[in-house]
Order: sequence, then structure tokens, then C-alpha cells
Amino acid sequence: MPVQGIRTVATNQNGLGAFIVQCKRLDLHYCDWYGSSRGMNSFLTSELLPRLSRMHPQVSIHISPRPNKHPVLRAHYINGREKAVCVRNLEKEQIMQKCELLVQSQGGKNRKIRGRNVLSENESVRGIWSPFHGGIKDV
Amino acid sequence: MRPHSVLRAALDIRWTPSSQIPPTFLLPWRAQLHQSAHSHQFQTELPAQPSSQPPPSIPIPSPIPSTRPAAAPASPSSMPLPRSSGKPLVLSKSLQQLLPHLSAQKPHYISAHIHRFPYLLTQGDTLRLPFHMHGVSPGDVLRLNRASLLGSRDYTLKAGTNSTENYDGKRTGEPNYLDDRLFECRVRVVGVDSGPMVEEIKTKRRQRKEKHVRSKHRYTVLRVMEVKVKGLEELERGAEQLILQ
Repeated sequence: MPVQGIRTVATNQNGLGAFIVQCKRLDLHYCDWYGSSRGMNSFLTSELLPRLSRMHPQVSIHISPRPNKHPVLRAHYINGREKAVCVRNLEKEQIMQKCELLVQSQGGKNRKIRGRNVLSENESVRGIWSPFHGGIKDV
Repeated sequence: MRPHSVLRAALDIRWTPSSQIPPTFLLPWRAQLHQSAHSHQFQTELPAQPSSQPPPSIPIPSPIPSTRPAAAPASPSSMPLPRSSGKPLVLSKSLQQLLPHLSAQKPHYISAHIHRFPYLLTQGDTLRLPFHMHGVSPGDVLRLNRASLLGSRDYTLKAGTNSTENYDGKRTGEPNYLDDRLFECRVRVVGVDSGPMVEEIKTKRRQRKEKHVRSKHRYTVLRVMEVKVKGLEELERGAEQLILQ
């Protein structure tokens, strides 16, 4: 039987060398008739939208109507997930904040992490402690 | 010759004033990083800086906008200086003897402090800060300049009382830090994570009313780009005042 290599999957190390923004697409949905979409419509006609696209050239922004429904922001991420935020009755500045929030996110689930702030793929630098090597003391 | 200096020599951006430097997005991102040992060079090398400055209590120099080309240039006087600028770098005899061994042995680990809290980091680690850091956006490169431990497999450099800033005189309870000219630790802001919505029910005695308090926190996620211990030659080249004991 020939020697087989260990099968591993490449781990994501985004930002170590190059940095790729994880949000790839942002969908903006509006309605012409609903009153809850008033802030969204003013956001789309204001200068905030070109500013958003100028600040994030890596994200493709799609605008489409969603008649007789509340306005929605929907962000698609590289990891395949998507996040949707309903922006009914919000002002255009609040919608801008929601857009920023979606673009800056990494697309993962919102998890509670207790105490584990550092996640490492590397081996321990100083190695694993052994009772049989070094510093042996007689009792 | 180091790749940094080769790059600088090739691009000839070392001593040009900020008005003649091409816009940030034309430069390779390595060219925007700074060496903390040269405080005056540190000011001229950064062509632009974000308009929103982090508060001075954050123990990190100002973020370098690598992804945002449209940033307003600011006067160099408003740039925060490195913490240990002006003071001579004191290297004891044992440090002179052992620092080459430490810097030659890779990989390194560092116990870097942000807001006084230690984080044990190696290259490539993901650090999810327990708070949302304002004034930075994804893609920015930060340099962590406070560390209490620096080590490799066999050697450890620990912050003592000599040749470090001692905060105990101010009674702030700050730990002792290593001199920030001895190492370089760079992290990149990768994104902003969010915790789940947490709902807490608050009650008072002898009444049926319940108050529902909802909270959702945001956390800045960083990726450690490099942990580097400087060698003796690099320190001698970089520091203006070097005292060898």
C-alpha cells in the first residue's frame, strides 16, 4: 500500500498577507408605495448611496423593488451565508449604519464566546510540558 | 539589506514631504508601515491619516488607512508619537548576549497588552477583542506597542523594572512593559463581529412586573500579521541613542 498523505483542508487566514472583504454583495430592496420605505427611498436618492459604494468598492450593490413589502437589506458573504436586516421606518442615516454593519461583518453566526479571545491554528511555541525532561526535583 | 529599506530606496519615498508622496492606494501596503525607532521619520512616512483620531487612551498608534484612499492629510504634529521616543534604549549585558539567540529562534510569541489586558499571540492568530474599537475599519493595520512577554521555544524576555516604563509610581496598576523598540507586532483589523441578542429579565420583589433588558454587543476582530523580535544590528541601526551596559 503506498504512502498516503494526511488529508487536510486549507484554513482561512484572511488578513495575514492580503485582506479580502468578506461581504461580496449587498442587496437593497425598496417599495414605492409603502410608508415604511420612505427612509429607504430617500437613502437611495441621497448622496449616501454613492458614498457607500465609494467607501466599499469591493462590494457589489444591487438595488431592486420589493413591492408591497417592508424594505430589506440583504448581504451575501464569501462563506456562503447571508444576513438580512429589515429597515422599515428607519431614517436614511440609520440605514447607512446598518449597511456599514453588514459590510464590516464576517458573515458568521452571532455566537457568544466566553473568555476565548485568541484563536490559534499554530502549535504551541514552547512545546508541551513533559514531567520527564528538565527541572526534575527530588522530594 | 532589509526588504523595507530596499523598497524605500527603490521608491525613493523616505524623505519626501507628504505633499509629494503619491496617494496611498498606489503604494504597496508595506511602504505605509512605519518603524517606531525613527520618530521623525515616522511622521514623514505616513502620507495620510484618518480624520477620526482614536482617543489617546488607546495604547495603539493611529491606524494606517490601507484600504481607504480618500483620507484627509493631517499635520504631523497631531500624530501620536511612539511611547518611548526621546528616551535612550538601554541594553544590559545579558540582553546583548541573549537577544541574538531569541531573535534568531522562530517562531515567537508575545504577550501584547491592549487596554492593560494581556493577549498571548503568535503569527496568524485571530484575536477577538472583548470590545468594539472605534476609529478603525476593516483592512487597517495596527501596531501593538505594549508587551510584557516576548519569547521563543527556549528563550523568554520578560519586562522588568530596568529600562522599562514603570507605571507603579503613578499608582495606576499598570504592568511593566517592554521597550517598544525591541519588537514589532502588527495586527490587521479583519471585521466587526457581533454577539447574540441577550435578554435579561429583571424583577423586583412583591410585584408582578418584569423588565426585559436586551443587549447586543459588537467586537472587533484582529488578525496577527507579524511578531518580530529585532536583532542587535537592527536596534543599533534604528535607535538614535543606544546605551550598552
